[in-house]
Formats: sequence, C-alpha cells, structure tokens
Amino acid sequence: MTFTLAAGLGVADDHPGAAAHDPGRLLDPGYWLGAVQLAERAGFDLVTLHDRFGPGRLPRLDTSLLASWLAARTAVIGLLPTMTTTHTEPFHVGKNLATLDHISGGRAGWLVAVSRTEEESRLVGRGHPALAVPGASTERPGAGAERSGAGDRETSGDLDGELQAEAADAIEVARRLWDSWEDDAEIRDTATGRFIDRDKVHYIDFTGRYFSVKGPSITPRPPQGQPVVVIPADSPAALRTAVDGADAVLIPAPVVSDDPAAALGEVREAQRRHHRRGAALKVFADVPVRLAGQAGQPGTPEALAEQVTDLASLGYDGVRFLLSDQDADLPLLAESIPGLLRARGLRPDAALHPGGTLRTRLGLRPAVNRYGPEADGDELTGEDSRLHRSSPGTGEQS
Amino acid sequence: MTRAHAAGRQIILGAHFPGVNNTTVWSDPASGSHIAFESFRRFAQSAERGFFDFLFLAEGLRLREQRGVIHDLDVVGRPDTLPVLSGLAAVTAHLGLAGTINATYNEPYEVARQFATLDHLSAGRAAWNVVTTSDAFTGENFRRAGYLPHDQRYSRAQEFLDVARLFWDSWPDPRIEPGRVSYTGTQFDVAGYPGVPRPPQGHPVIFQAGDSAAGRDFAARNADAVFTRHGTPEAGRAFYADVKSRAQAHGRDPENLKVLPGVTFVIGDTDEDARERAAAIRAQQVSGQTAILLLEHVWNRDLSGYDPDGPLPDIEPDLSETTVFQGRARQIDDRAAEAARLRALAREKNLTLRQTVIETQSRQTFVGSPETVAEALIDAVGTRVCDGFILVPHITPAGLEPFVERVVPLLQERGALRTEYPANATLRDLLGLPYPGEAPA
Ligand SMILES: Cc1cc2nc3c(=O)[nH]c(=O)nc-3n(C[C@H](O)[C@H](O)[C@H](O)COP(=O)(O)O)c2cc1C
Repeated sequence: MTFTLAAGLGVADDHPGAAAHDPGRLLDPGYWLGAVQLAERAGFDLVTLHDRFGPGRLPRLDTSLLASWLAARTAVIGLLPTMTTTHTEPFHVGKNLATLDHISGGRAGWLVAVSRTEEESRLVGRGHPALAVPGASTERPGAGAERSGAGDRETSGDLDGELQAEAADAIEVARRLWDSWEDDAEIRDTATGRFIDRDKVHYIDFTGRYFSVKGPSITPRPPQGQPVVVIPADSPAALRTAVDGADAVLIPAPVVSDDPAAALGEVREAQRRHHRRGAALKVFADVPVRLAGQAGQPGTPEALAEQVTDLASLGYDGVRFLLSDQDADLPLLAESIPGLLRARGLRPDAALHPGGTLRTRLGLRPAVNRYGPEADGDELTGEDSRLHRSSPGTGEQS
Repeated sequence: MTRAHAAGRQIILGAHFPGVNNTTVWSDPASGSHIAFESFRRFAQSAERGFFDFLFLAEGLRLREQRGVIHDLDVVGRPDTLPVLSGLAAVTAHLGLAGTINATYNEPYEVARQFATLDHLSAGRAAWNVVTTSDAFTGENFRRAGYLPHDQRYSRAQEFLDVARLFWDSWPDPRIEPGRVSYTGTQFDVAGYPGVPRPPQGHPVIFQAGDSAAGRDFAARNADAVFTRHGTPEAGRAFYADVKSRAQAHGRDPENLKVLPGVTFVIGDTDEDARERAAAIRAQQVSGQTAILLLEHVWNRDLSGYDPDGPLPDIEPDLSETTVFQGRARQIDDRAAEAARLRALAREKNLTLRQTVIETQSRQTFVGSPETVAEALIDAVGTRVCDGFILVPHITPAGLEPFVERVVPLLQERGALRTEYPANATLRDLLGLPYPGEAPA
C-alpha cells in the first residue's frame, strides 16, 4: 500500500503574525519554487497550493497559474492548485487543469474549493449564484432538457448544501471534459485530409441545475486522463461531494485530532450509503506542523512521526502537513520526516520515481475514458464504473 | 548593405504560435505537436533567440463546426492560454507573453487577478489581447450561456477593462494595506480587495483585435497595441492612419498605440526559390477537402458534392443569416459579390475550384530571399504601414527558425532590431510604452 505524503503550502494567511516579514516575497515564483523543491527532494508526493478569492493579510498569486510555472521547473512532485467551483466557470477549470497536466507530464491535481463568503461573491458581482438558481435556470438554453447533473441529490436548501451540489456538478463537468477527447483522436490522416477523427471527440451535453456545458473541451485529453481531484471534507455536504466525484478526501485537522478513527469510519459509511462508484476514496488526514519555536508549543519531529504512524495504522491513506509557518517549518519537516517515517516502516521506498504520473504515485488506477471503447456503454457518468461495480465503496483497501 | 536605415524606426516583432486554421500545415513531416509544452518552449525560445518582443497566443472557446459537425481538416484543439504562458514565463527570460482572453465569458476580478499573476511570474512581461467574440454557439460552454448583442460587446469590454484596472491599481505595494475596489456600471456591480498587488508593469500591455468602428475606437481609447489583418501596404496605411487619428482624438499620443498586422512569410535562397516554396506551401494549406470547406464560407452551402479539381459551383450562394460554419471570427460580408469575383478570376485564368481557392485564400504576406524580406519589413515600418508585425509561421514548432536565422541578422545589421535585450526590461520597456499613470512622454 502506498502511504501518501503531502504538503499544504500557502496556508499562512490564516496564521496571525505570518505577514511579519517581506510579504513581497510571496509574489516571486522563485520563493515558491524553493519550497516545492524542498518538498520534492524530501520525497513528498504532492503539494497543495492554498488559494481563495478576495483579501487576506498576504498577497496571493492565482495558484492555477503559479502551478503551471512550477510545473515547468519541477520533475516529480504532484501540483494541486485550488480552484473554486462557485465562481470559476467549469469549462475554464477543465482546460486549465488539463493544461497543467500537459505541462507537468501528468502531475496535475485539483484542490476543490467552494466560496462560501459574501465577500467573494461581491468580487464577481453576484449574490450566491447557487441560491439564485431557480429563476435564472429557466432562461438558459437547454434548461428544459433532461438533467444529467450530480446535483439531483436532495439539498436542504442551505448555502453549503447548494454550493456543494454545485461543486459536484462542476467536478462532473471537468471529468467529462477531460474525457471528451479520446487519446487517439488526433490522426493526421493525409489520405482523407483529416487531422482528427471527429468520432473520437465528444460533446459532453451536461445540463444541470446550476449550469449547462456543451463541450467538447478545447484541450485534448490530459496525460493522466483524469487529473487527481481532492476535496477537504469540511462539512457533511463536502464529504458527500467527495463521495460523488473525488479521488481523495482531506479530513480537517480538528477532526483528526479529536477522533481520527471515527472520522475514517464516517467516510467509509458515507461511501456505502451513497453507493460510491469506482475505487474507494483515498483518505488523507490534515496534520498541522509547528516545529519551529513560534507562537504556541512547538512539537518535535518524533512526535509528528508518531502521530503519522498512528494514522497509518488506523487505515489512513496519507497525510497532508499544513505549514502555517512555511518558511520556518518546511525545512525542518523536509529534513526530518522522511527518515523518521522510513525508520517506522511507513515509507520503505522513499525514493522518487521520475516519469510516473501523480495517479500512479497515489496508487490510483489508470483512468478509463468514459467515452472510449473500454467504457461501459450505458454508464457514462461514473468514473471507471466497469472496473469496480461489484464492490461500491470498498474497492481498494489492500 | 547600406546603413541608410540605421537611423530608421525599430521594428516590433511578435511570434504567433500557429493557430487552428488552414494556415498551419500539419501534414508536413516537420510538423510537431501543437499541444505538448515542449513545442511551446521550443517556439518561445526561438523567438527569444531572434530578439522578438513577444509571443502571442490566440484563443477559441469552442471547437469549430461546419455543416453541424466538428471541423476536422485543420489542426484542432489547444491548451489553455494563461497556464501555457505561465509555464513559458518559467523557461524564458525576456520575451513578452501575450494571451488572448475573452471579455464575455470571464469575470473582470478573475481575469485581473490572473494577468496580475502572470505579470508577477514573468517579472513584467504579460500582455492581454482583449477580444469580444460572443456568439450563442460559444456561450453553450459557459455558466452565463447567453451572449451579448453585438452593440453591447464593447460596452461590456470597456467596463470589464475599467474594473480590471481598478483592481490592478488598488494595491500599489504589498507592504501596505490593499485598497478596496467598488464599481457599479451597466455591466458589472463588484466590490472587494484585489488579492494580488500591483503588477510590475502597472497594467499588463493591452492588445485589441477587433476591426469594426466600435472595435477600433475601443483600441484607440484603451489599447497599447492593435492586432490587425490589414498587412498589405495600401490597406495597412489606411488602417494605420485611421486608428492613430482615433487615438489622437482620445487625447493620446498616437505613438503609444502600436499597429501590428498578423503576417505570413516564406524565405528562400533567392526570390524565385521563395516563390516556388510559397506555391508548394499554399498547395499544402489547401487540400481538395479544405478548398471545398473554404468555398462553403462564400457559398454558405454544403458543397461536398463538388469536385475540387472541377469548376466552381454553378449554383448561387445562400445569402441567409444562418451560416453553415460556426466558431470562426471572420465572416464574408457580401457573399454574392465574392462569388462573382471568384468566378471571374477562374474564367480569366482557367482555374479549377481548388486552384481558385489557392489563388485567392492564402497568399503569403512576405515572400523572398532574406534580403528581400528584411527590406520589405523595414520599408513597411518606415512608410507607416505599421509599427511592426506579428509573424504567423505555418509549421509548429520550428516555423519561426528560418526567419530567426536568416532575416533577424539582417534587421539587426540595418539597425531595425535590437542586438541584445536590455537588462530587466518589461514588455512595456521593450515596446517603448509608458507605464500607467505616467505623464505622456
Ligand atoms: C487579427 C485578429 C485576430 C483575432 N483573434 C481572435 C482570437 O484569437 N480569439 C477570438 O475570440 N477573437 C479573435 N478575433 C476577433 C476579435 O477580437 C473581435 O472580437 C471580432 O473581430 C469582432 O469584433 P469587431 O466587430 O470589432 O471586428 C480576432 C480578430 C482579428 C482582427
């Protein structure tokens, strides 16, 4: 079994005092490259890049573009920028991440976010679009068509429920867009003058409660087929969205420190209850890191390694270290943790495997194209349903 | 070579990554991937070796269709503009990075933030080509689905840019608190903080590529550069005079609005050699199938039953509003007149259908020996046809290389192109443009 190590970068905004020195450095991609290379050299599988619309104490580059810059300068590590499903067009999300996957040679992932604040909505000049839907949807072309979205689940009409149902639809759209070109659609057939075989490029015809997207993507299928989709399970509705469409779920740090076994059980139960299709969700625990002697009690690398080992033995698939003081803690973490975990038998092979995709590193199966010849003909919405139909929710436990 | 031009005007050079139309020849053995990042890296690095000012990416947000199915004869598909430019910022050092981004299917806050990010990632090399293409066809891919009436496209684009500029201006220094933007207009009602401090260039360089009166006025008022199709001497001079005088009417120094036609080129050992190559390339660009499809733009009918090696269709064009093709920026205004013109030409020169299309649709702008081409470029800029060129090669990714290897040294020799990049230059510096807020030079 693969145990995943991730580093959460750029979370410092939520940490008081983080703005203390030279905030301008955060605008220099070289600063981020230094951090990502530290993680890469220490054998981390991926980094997530924290982002959101609107203000913070600190400057914030758009992480989807920062990730593409970093992709051109790194070789092995997975790169997961944050993109919001509340305000960013799903079509843009799909091609942006597909392109990151092309640039990085199959190392792209998506840290899915919803934008819950009024402040974020004001930046794009609307109220919460998810709540404004009923009137608006009737004016849209195709609104009368049979809906195919994942948002057909019951929502209690509360904000989070709506935003998460919309997120599930956005993920579904991105996934269909990624599959909308079969891998061998480009044929360059001089005899017939055709560059593509148009029968291998597919409309996605998504019609949902929040938006409709015709497709196909303008960007051919990314190297991974499906970049890795990760959702923080920071509410019950978010967990449901993860069950519907993510590859991995992040358990928030307070939940992890409270009762990690119960949290894991809840994820498993949710997968059974909602009949998750395909492989089981990977479950990662968020673990805050305070190794340097800043505010609060610093921990020791040994204690951290102990905590991670405990999580692994409970059945977690990995951890994401949240680095709220990235400058101080990342070097300490990178230098100590790989060796400590190796000594505990958790990462017997910490060596990097250049050339592999992020999916491979995380132990995810190759993504089968839902529109391709290997897809199950009558099941176009679930990821890779053909392979895992027999055991919903419990797929890859070994 | 004389030094007569040494005191002449500098030529601005842009490199257009080959696009999704029949200018791009994919059947040539030299043609590589138009998706792999390696192709973009190689293309950008050859532009940088040639001391170009910028690389340019076009955008289309829905795959083109003809007769109701996806058009399959040209290169199809491309990666996303801004992530590609961000990747290129990491592997180039001097080259400007210009991206086409639509003002209809985006929100100003998000686009402002992304261009500010690209400008930081590239230390001041970002440019935004603001386009307004907005048909219902493309809208089917977006949340906002709908499209704008033609006359509202530029009012949205204007407000879009106004709002973007408010965000760029509102946080001049990361060490101080950001200012709050608040805007209410007919198209947008937004408020909040920018997230990204002021980009190194103040604002990214603004390009515009519309041709209508409203489009030209938008450029005259807002743009640092216009990307135009008017590359021939007569049409170019008329366009140049028109947009420069429009800029002046808006109280701007016309020198601060650069006119840059998109042009094609074929370099040969001699002029004769270049002409032969050009003819061969035109034949590659217009296969029999492509000839039929291009002719359908004029006839607005399904012509698939016609023989490309036979005569032009004998039926008349369909003049109705509904078109057989979708997703193309360019439309033919008077189909009947165009059909009559093609028939006259075919009669006069005794041409087949395909030959007629080759003859009319894809003449390269500059064809000749390196000396001839260099001279023609210098002449065009010297006589105010334009301020420079956006070169559109026909081969991905190596198509720029003959120009870089053979024409660039001549331009440098004649003092029309830099021989090194100035240290730490932004794209504004390369183009000689003022910074926002600066008094006109
Ligand atoms: C040289 C040139 C290049 C253009 N490139 C693009 C492009 O890449 N993407 C796009 O959506 N529109 C493109 N356009 C379309 C224009 O930006 C504009 O939306 C269109 O010409 C309609 O505006 P108009 O009525 O003012 O001409 C281009 C136009 C010109 C003249």
